[in-house]
Amino acid sequence: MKSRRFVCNDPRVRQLLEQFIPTADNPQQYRLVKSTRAEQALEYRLLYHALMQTGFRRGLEDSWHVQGMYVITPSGKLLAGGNRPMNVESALADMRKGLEAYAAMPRAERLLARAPHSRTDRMFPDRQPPRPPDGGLVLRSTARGLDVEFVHEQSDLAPDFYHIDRLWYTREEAMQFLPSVLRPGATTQVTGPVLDGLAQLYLMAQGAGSHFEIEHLKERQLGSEVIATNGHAVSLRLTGRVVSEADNDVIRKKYRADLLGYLTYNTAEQRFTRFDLLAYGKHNVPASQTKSGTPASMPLGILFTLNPTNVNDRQPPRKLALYRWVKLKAAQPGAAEQ
Amino acid sequence: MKTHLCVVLLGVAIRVNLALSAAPPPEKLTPATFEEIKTRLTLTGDELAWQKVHWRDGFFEGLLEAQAADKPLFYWIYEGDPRGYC
Repeated sequence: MKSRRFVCNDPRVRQLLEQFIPTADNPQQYRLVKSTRAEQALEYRLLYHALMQTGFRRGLEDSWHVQGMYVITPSGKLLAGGNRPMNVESALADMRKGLEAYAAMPRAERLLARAPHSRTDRMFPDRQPPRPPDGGLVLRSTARGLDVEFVHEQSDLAPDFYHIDRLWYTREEAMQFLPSVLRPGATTQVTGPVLDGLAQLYLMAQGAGSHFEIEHLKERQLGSEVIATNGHAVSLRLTGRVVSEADNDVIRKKYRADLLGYLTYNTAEQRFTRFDLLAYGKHNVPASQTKSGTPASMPLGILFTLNPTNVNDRQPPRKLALYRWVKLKAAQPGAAEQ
Repeated sequence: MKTHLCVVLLGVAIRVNLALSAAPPPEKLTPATFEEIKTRLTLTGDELAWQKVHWRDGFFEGLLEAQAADKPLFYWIYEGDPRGYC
């Protein structure tokens, strides 16, 4: 197990985390702060001040480039931490150091003088967190490179790593996976933003660009066929292919993937009870991530399943801000600015 | 008895997964290779052990609870949210 999750998958770390409030974050939302009001909000000020004490001071000032694991008091003081996400012993040492320092601090120093106001102390007090569309389809994507020869073991594309995300479809979009008649042999083609958005935002390895332009999709096809019915359960098979190629300053990716999926739709409950869609094919690998130092291609698989119920799975799609651009409708007002 | 059976099945599942990850992956996605490729992509309990922890969403959610509980935040920041990149 060489996953970057190694630190937080470690049982000793998880046990020590009981003495903390574990918090995960993304610098993007702070990067988008443009107003003085938001910059003066307690949320922004405390965090900015704490992270300015890390080794990312310059990156923070320039563009909120910061990452790592840190122990921070509610009053905004940095106690320990660093950017060594795969080093368990280092994380454990930082956690213990942070706990000792916290215990030694006077209460007035480690806590804020007053409890933060749950709305007015936020950077964007009137902004609602994005929610999945009512009655829509919420999927989790899991992408993993399956090469065991070319990619070096520290590369994100090595099989020991994985990348998970969410995909939101409105109910109207989700219904496009169903033929108009739900009888064995009935077919339909999934087209438009339901397929294009999937291909443009999700069918790719991480790095070297976040999305394909529509003209980068050289081939795209996805068919759906009813293969059986059993009471209210309708079984479907998805088959298709997507070929995407881009090589410019913004994105350098090539992926030739076959698509195959098995779905079950319950007509009484009007929802999918199974959604297993696989994309699998060869994806280019930049020279920086290969053992030989020369470009290669490798097998990359992406699995779309119904989103599990773990609390950590209740996250919006990472590229929700791009949904409008690919004409997916699940982005709600305000979501594109986040 | 049930516990013993679960332990045996778990052991078999882990061995199957380890054996798969060491072998070359299938060349093509077909109905015959669907389950194997899906198994290679399906996250194991070990890979998702971090999900046994409730990670709060963003600094402010963590701050609200940390202040109320008088505990420090263990704050993990990563481009795109660390919970997606492993």
